[in-house]
Amino acid sequence: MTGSIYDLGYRRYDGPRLGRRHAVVALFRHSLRSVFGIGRSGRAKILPFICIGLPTLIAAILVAVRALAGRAGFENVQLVPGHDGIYPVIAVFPTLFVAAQAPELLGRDQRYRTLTLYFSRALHRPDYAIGKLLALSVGVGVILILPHLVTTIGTILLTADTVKGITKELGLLPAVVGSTVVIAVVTSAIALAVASLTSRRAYATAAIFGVLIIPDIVATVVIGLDLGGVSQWVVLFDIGALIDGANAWFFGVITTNQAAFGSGVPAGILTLAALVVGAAATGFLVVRYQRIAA
Amino acid sequence: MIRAIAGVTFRALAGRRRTLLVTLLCSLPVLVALLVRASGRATDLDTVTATVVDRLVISTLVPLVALVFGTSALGSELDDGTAVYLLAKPIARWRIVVAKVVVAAGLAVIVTVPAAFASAALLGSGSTWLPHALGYAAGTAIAASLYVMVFLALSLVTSRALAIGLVYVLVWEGILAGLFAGTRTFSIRQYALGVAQAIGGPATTNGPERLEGMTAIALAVAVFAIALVIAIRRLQSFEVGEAD
Repeated sequence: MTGSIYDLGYRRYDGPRLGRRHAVVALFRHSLRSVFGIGRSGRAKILPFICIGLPTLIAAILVAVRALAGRAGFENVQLVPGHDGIYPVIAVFPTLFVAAQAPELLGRDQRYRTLTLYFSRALHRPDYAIGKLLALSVGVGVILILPHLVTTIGTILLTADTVKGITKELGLLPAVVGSTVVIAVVTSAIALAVASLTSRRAYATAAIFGVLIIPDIVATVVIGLDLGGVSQWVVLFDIGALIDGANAWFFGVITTNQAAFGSGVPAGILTLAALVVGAAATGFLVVRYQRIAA
Repeated sequence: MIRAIAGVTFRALAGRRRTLLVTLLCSLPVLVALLVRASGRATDLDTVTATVVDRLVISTLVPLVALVFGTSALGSELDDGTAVYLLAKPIARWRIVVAKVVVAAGLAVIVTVPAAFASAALLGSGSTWLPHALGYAAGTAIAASLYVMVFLALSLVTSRALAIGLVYVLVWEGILAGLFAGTRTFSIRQYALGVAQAIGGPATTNGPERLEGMTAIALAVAVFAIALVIAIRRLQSFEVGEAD
């Protein structure tokens, strides 16, 4: 009879175990939601939706300007930024987005010690890092792709010959997708690598902001001096110039970034450097989560 | 008691590693200025000065430093929940706000003003280098204390102060201020540049025309006072034990 007192009826879990893949997907989906503040309070949605809304609005305004200028008989409507020039115009929004959301993605789990719970599950440590990186990259990707979408719709509607318009836009598709993926992943990887270093949101945000913006100003001044020789290669430390160079390379245009332009370094090399920096940041993030105390 | 609060805030904000990082960051404009001078190749010193002092120091470093100090002076205690111990003490709330502002703004001024002064002095030429450097130093001091005050008030109004502060710095000051001249009346950076120009004499300007020196100071004082009042009001109505 003793059993009846102490037997609380605990049972083993014998349902399906969904395993590592499911854990990664679940982490990715949860992170993607929190990147946009979905499932959080209204206040948490303000910034993500500013970062999505304003670039889209800007793209719509540019299409409108092109339409009005065309109707008023201006010849050089090409001067209005299209697919190739939209990134430099909206570049501040991805920066803002990752500076605010990357610490949000990583900081909480460090501060509230939930990493322990994650790592005691099917999820491996690198899976966590990669899942977060994918989620933030998709978030940045959405910010970047929507203006392209608006531009595409606008261009097709502005072209009298619809078939010709669609063909033209399809021709730009590889460049649009390629530049979006590269910019999104590289920016996110850098932001997360920086954010993984501290669980304090204020410092992480400031550090990301600093890393993405300050090198560009310094490089612009140094390259402006035109010292010749190796000094031009300082542009390789300028993440803003690398990303802008990558954008220019995909569309086959001249970069608008002052430092990148002044350095005379070919866009192909800037793109390659952007990829190397992105890969290095990803590697750093994975190693950091391999070692982080949990 | 106020001394103790100030001391604790100081230690919380000026950790060893953090101070080192901020100092390194603020030595960057000075290093760039040194490089420019040493190379002797700058053809247009005014433009370089504008880039280094305005874009690097006043538009980037100052908001960055102020964002960290301003939002964490009181904000981090509110986040952690340790603010309760402070607020439960029989100290007038306005004194707490003032102590926090003084320490945070003081720190921000101490780290950024020397950078502005030194880089402007290094880049200056002839007899105008001193007023120029002093002007930029004064402008930086105003910008630093004003940013800290505004961000501190923001951290009491909303728990998303950091994000909103970033939006203000990047979108308002960064993009809109370059496009719409009217925004200069509501831009901390423009107050700083207005004061810098009033003291140091005109420099080449890229962007909207500068504010008059006195107007800039009056606006800066007004914004500071409004932010201070808002911060005090918010802290006075902050209920201990209120679930956030």
